[in-house]
Amino acid sequence: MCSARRVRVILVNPNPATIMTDPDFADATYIEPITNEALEAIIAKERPDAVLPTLGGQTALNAAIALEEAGILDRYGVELIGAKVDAIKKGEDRQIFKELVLECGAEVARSHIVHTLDEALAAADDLGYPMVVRPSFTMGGLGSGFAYTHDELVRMVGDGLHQSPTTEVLLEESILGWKEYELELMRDQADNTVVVCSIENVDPVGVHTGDSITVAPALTLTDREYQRLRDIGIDIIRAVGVDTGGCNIQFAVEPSTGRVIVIEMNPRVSRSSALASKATGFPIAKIAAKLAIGYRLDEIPNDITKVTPASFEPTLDYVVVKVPRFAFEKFPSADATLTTTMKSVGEAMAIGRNYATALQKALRSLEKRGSSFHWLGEPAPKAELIELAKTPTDGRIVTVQQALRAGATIDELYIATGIDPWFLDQIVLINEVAAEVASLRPFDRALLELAKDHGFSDTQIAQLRGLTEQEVRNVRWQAGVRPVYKTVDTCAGEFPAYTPYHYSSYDLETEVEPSAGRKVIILGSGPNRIGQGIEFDYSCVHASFALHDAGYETVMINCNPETVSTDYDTSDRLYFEPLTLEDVLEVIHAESQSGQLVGVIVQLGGQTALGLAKGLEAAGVPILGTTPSAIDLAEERGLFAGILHDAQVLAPKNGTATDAPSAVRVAESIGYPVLVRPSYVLGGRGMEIVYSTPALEDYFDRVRSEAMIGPGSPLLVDRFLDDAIEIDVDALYDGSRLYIGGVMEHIEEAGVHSGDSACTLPPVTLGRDIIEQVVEATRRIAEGIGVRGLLNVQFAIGAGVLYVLEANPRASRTVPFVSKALGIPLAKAASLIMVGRSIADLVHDGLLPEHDGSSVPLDAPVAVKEAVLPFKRFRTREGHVVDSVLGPEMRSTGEVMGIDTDFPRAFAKSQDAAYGGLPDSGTVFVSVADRDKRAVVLPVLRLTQLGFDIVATEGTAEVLARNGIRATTVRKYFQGQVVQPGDPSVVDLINEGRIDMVINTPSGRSARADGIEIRTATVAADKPLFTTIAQLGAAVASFEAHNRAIRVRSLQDYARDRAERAERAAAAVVS
Amino acid sequence: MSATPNDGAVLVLEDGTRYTGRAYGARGRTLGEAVFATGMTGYQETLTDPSYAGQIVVQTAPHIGNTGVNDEDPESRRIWVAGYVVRDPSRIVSNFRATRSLDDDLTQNGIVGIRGIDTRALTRHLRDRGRCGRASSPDRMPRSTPTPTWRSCARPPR
Amino acid sequence: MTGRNLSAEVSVLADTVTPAQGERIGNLAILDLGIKQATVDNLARRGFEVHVLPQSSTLQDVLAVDPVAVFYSNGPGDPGASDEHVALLRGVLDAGLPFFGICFGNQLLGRALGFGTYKLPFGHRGINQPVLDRLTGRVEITAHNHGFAVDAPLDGAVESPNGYGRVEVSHVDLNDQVVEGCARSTSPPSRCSTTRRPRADRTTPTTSSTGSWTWSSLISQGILAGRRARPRCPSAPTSPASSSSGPAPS
Repeated sequence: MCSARRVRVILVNPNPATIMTDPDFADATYIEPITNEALEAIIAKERPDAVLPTLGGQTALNAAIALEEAGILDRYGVELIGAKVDAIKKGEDRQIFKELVLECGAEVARSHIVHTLDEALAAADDLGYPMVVRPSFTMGGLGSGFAYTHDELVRMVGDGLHQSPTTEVLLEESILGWKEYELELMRDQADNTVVVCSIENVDPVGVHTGDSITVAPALTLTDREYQRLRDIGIDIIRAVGVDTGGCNIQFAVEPSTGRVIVIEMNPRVSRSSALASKATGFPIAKIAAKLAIGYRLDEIPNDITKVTPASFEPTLDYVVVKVPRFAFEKFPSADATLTTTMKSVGEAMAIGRNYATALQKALRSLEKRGSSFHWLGEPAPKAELIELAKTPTDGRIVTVQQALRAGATIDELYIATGIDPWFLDQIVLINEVAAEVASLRPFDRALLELAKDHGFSDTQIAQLRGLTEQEVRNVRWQAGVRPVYKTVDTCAGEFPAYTPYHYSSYDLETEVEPSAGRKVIILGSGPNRIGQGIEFDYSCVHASFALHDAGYETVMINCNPETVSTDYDTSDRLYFEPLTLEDVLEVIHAESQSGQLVGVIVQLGGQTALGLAKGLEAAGVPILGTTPSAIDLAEERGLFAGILHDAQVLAPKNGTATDAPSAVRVAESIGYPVLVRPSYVLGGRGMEIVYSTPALEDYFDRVRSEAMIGPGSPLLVDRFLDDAIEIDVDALYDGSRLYIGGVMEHIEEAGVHSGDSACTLPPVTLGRDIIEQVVEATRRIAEGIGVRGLLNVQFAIGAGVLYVLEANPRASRTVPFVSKALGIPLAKAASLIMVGRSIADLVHDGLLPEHDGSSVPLDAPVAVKEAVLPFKRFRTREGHVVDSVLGPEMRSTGEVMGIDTDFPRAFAKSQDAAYGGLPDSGTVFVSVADRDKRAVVLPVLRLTQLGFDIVATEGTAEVLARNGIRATTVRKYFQGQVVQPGDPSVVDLINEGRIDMVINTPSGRSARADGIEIRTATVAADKPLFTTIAQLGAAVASFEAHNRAIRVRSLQDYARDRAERAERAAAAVVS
Repeated sequence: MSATPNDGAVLVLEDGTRYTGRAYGARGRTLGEAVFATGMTGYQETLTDPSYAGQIVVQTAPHIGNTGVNDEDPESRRIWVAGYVVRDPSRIVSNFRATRSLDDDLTQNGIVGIRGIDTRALTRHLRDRGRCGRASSPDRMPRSTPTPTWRSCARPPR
Repeated sequence: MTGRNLSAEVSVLADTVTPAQGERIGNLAILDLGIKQATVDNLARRGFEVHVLPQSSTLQDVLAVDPVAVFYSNGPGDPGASDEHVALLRGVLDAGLPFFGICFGNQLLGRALGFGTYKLPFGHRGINQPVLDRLTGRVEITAHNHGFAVDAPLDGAVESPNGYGRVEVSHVDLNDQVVEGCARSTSPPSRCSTTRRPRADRTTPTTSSTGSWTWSSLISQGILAGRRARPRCPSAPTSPASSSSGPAPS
């Protein structure tokens, strides 16, 4: 799009998983840390005219301000476009923002700054209870909260004045429970301003908008009220000075008076912008980029209608609902109450012709047991449910539905939750329809249409009717009750739409155009969650591009508004639908009415898509690539054991069990420690390392409620390989030839989930012999399973012996990392193999390089992938950060990559990108388990040589002293101990900021409980933490790298290097 | 919840296209120029805007009536539309300024409407083929005949 | 709707007066062809004493109000079937009074100037219609209910077929290039009008509801400046852009 105007585009982002960092999308793509140092190096090299920071969220904005303040932009004559620094500051500085809002004739929440208790009490007369108490300048919001009574106020203000370094507390009126709205606006340099989307939060103020159920358009405002918000929004975007781009403004509206308060604004494209773009069909980011380089809104055509301009406000003739996806099960000690700190990890969106349909579709898009409305059994007592509903949390909307079932009234629930009665009545409506479906009415067309027009799935109808899902579907199809597909067209039908962006509804007319093409349907990966993030979307999008280029008509199905796969221009046709068997079958049916359906790809969308394979196959749908029965060979324990046996490859001793007693028998015969995990899960859900029989029994107790283990889904019990190195391989197989994408060596030992572990490509400590074994094993496994497309295999080397841990005949989350590190388009190749091309063809056509990733030349760069962990976000009810020890269950929410000529440099970059870097000097705290004491000596010695001071607990200090390393001894931390002044514990030191880095490896025997306090304090203080010796080794190696100037290279530079190398090699052969 | 007897209604366009739904507002028959309006808010303003006189207004937004009706927002002394076509009229009223429901307002003002039809399909049809229309319901209480100055719409019926 | 005149059905039957608020500019005579209350309120807020007259009024009735300007409202029906109103409008123009109109009123101005009107294929009925103000280059998002439009040439100024001087199209709907406003650019007195109806009629007037506010402020500026018969149009030197940016002037 920018190349249309011949602008050279340089992108910087250390995240390899995103499509953004595809070298196809920009002229120069830098996967480098977003730090002043790296950015300056890039600016010095590329000499750009301008920097656009408004499309990269808070990270980008902060980086831009940092560059500006460091004088770097001036030094190189670089202009900041999209928003000026003072515009950014106006939006973010609370005081300036408040003045600005007042000038625009609007209001902010009333507040008082107090320095004494008396002042606070006087303020209470004005503000009333409850009110918000915010001590100034305390760390991490310490001391803030709501004061509901006089006594609470006295206590909180007392504490607050004491905690605040300036003896200052801000008291603010509470707008808890007010209706919450967001507007997404855009403005160009000619001051043309449009409101792209209005969003209403079903969960009122008090729950972060990212954690709320939201709906577009706003549904409970009169025009007068809406216009007021619109006018304020336009005035604010002008006053703040966003002069080319987008902006998000949040409002609160008092439900009984209509009083409007502006909560905050973000002078940039935000998370809501993605939602707004998908909800309206108005591509905010794309247009924002054009505005930034000088286009006006009326100069940009509306892609969808082609003939009208972008200077208009989209109007919707459907309803969009967004529901958040949480992962609290991964952080059991975290407080799952939803507050103003965002905790969700992803979201799902659904489109329907009314709210009930959109809501029900959205809930079933979450793919989480218990997310949808149900009518099983008797609901709990009404009073109990109403009480439960008062606390906003994951799944509250189902609690509300059950409460209504139990006889609660709309008024009662409105008082308990603050959710607008209109939305509550819609749930009453859904319950009423459910009662109709469950009644003695004949199960005919009229009843089915009634249920479908309120979003009921076949599964829900089956449940209500006492039938199976398949029976319901058969009756429905026989009765001719099938959905039609409408189009998101930005204009409610006023103009014809040329972009096939569809959603289902049970209405009269379908808008799916017949086409004569050969169609391939790609199933996306659903909402982002831990274990299944945008890495899978990368593969789906690439498959779409490759197949389109190869002449197929590509059809994408997905329900995640945050992904590129749900951009209307990624595929030839987009269906924004839940990824359930029913919804996917209906799309397949609609697309099968014309043209030729070649098949469906299920291996690129993570477990979501893979889970549908069997159902689709049973329905007669052609599956492309590795067949469902082949997939089974890899996933089913017994079958896979057979494959390994034939391949003469070892697996760690293992067994399966369906209950506690049999599990204990298996574990005792294998020998502890064992790794236990439920089958057919992603992201290691429920995975644990178990060290003894009592611990194993305790594990069963804990997972019983989640019903993950049973006769059809046994528990896998494996010997856990302590001190083993883990290896990951991504490869392609076409039936005769294996093509290695990349071999990755994990930095953390086996036992840490591969998704959480840092890894390097190519391996840096493995010998050639081992790699050859790995490649050969991979080939045999691929052949044994019958892979057509991608394969991921995880190995471990313990005591020199190679073991296979698992094999996944699908795209893995490392595919984008490998593809970018080595320049091999794995996902594109996989999709072509799936439609029948051979690897030889692809090499011949130049899509795949001649030499695969099994042998990487010495002068090729080293790439390091580091996981980003969200521990700071999740706190216990007391406000403590949850324990950050990594284990077999995955908890990272994303990743970054560092790439450079050697491992230390690449690792240093990955740390910079993930955590803002390692300190150059200071004090390091060391306390390691007995088994690590030997290995820790050399790295710590190196640290002292680099100038660090060492602090250690007694046992570790002794070992260090014996090895000639001076360390100050510090007390461990025990709960309940008395704090002696002058004799602080290590936790005290960390809290006081006197420790700059912590090395703490937990002791294996006691289930890693040791050191929890130390680790949580370290994460809360934002200091680097190493929980394995391997990480420490890497870090020490990278310290050296840090002292040298950073070198930056784009992916395109690396590609040129590879091409030159290949030429030289070819020339060498010739000569 | 189930369709009550005599609940049915039908919208018939000049070209013969029929849309079957359920009765909404007053019962009866009405005639007018079928047009579609795309605003997502402001139904009360639309209904009382005199420039809609003689027109059967189709709302493209599916949910109408959520905020009821109040006394400050009317644009004139009465509702002027000849008929009203809505997909999902609201069951309840939720707004602090509302004094009554939209359903009541329409019924009391004798505005005949229809609900539960595929308003998007209708909109696209009107867009592609021009418009004219009549609405009727099985309850046969014809309204007054058109004024003598009314002429048939541009397109002759098929 | 072609050929239908519905003005009598929707019009008031007797004169209605709404007092001016703030600094009084003068009397405004409005022919009620189906006016919206919001428009009346808006104009009264600008300082006009608003006289809404029945659509059956004569030129004498209008002049009897002693108006500083005349306004034609929006309304239902085919402008091609409103000959009496067009004749009245020509009388107003001949009398040298400033005139502006919204929607239907603009279509009648088009006819009075000598252009024809035609029926749109399916009309504009929404609150998101983009209209380009050709003088300022600004796009305004406006509310429409149009079934008809003025048939005037889009490019350049032309002589009004009925001899009212040079006229050019000042506003265009960007969705389909339909004429939304025309202005007379030569003296004697200019007139501005537009088809579009302002958004947010009911809120504190701001930049988004330029509509009649722009013209009424232009008219009022002209009148306050003592040049009773020369209100400013968008083509005039005083840039309307300055009056449409920032919060509403008091």
